[in-house]
Amino acid sequence: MPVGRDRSCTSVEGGETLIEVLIAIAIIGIVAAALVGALLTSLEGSSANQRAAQADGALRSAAADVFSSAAAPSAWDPSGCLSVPVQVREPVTVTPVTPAGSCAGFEELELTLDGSTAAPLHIWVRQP
Amino acid sequence: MKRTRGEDGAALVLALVVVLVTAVLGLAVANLTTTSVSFSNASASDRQLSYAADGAADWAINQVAQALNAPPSDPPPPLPCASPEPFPGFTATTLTVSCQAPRGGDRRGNGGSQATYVFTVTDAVAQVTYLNTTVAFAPGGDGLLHGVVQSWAERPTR
Repeated sequence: MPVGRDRSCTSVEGGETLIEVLIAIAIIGIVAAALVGALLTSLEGSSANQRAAQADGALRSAAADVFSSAAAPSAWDPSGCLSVPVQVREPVTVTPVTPAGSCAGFEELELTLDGSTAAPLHIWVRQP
Repeated sequence: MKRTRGEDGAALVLALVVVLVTAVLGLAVANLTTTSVSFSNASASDRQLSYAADGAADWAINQVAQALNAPPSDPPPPLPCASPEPFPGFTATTLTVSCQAPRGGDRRGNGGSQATYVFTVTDAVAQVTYLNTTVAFAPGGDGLLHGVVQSWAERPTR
């Protein structure tokens, strides 16, 4: 295609450059939009992963605290249930799942990270 | 302007290459994100399964301790987990616990003072062994037998 316009251009050739430019802009726009969308999704996914990793660490740390507390015989009440509330360092709520009085030295607990949508962690503790 | 030979542009080829490279990059980014998210979910599931396997072992240890400390009866009740017992606390998958009683002597072990059991937690469906633990039941200050973990070998998880 001629670089410039000269008088030899016909009327048919006159609009080709504009159409080509518009098509190119459209293609670039679509590709750029897709790429930006992919990057934004990646960014969101990265944030979600970061939150999940933080929740994982907090829940594991809280679980370790609960296991440490449960290792002490004095932490268990006469019915064989773990005395609650259990002190944990993380902003985690520890909720007994096993009905009170029916533990018999073995109890299920649910650990929920406060203010997080992360799935709760279920752990089981045994009276030493 | 006069066009000479060999000046034909490669705009189409270049444009196709750019579009292709961009598409590959976009797909790679999207794939990376999808993989990361699915890995996070799998990791959380794996974490829960790991704790459940621990719980299953503790549940079986507690069952055996209760059986060992139960008043003597004739005939003695069957030992818990002598055959693989499903762990009722976790239903997301089928975790079973089996325990191997000591050989020789009574169920409390030779002399009745101490017995060592080996507990194995497996997923019978997936045929995966999650942990093996050896537990010695020895009398505590209250005169009852208490399970003391001697070894605890878990299957590595994420």
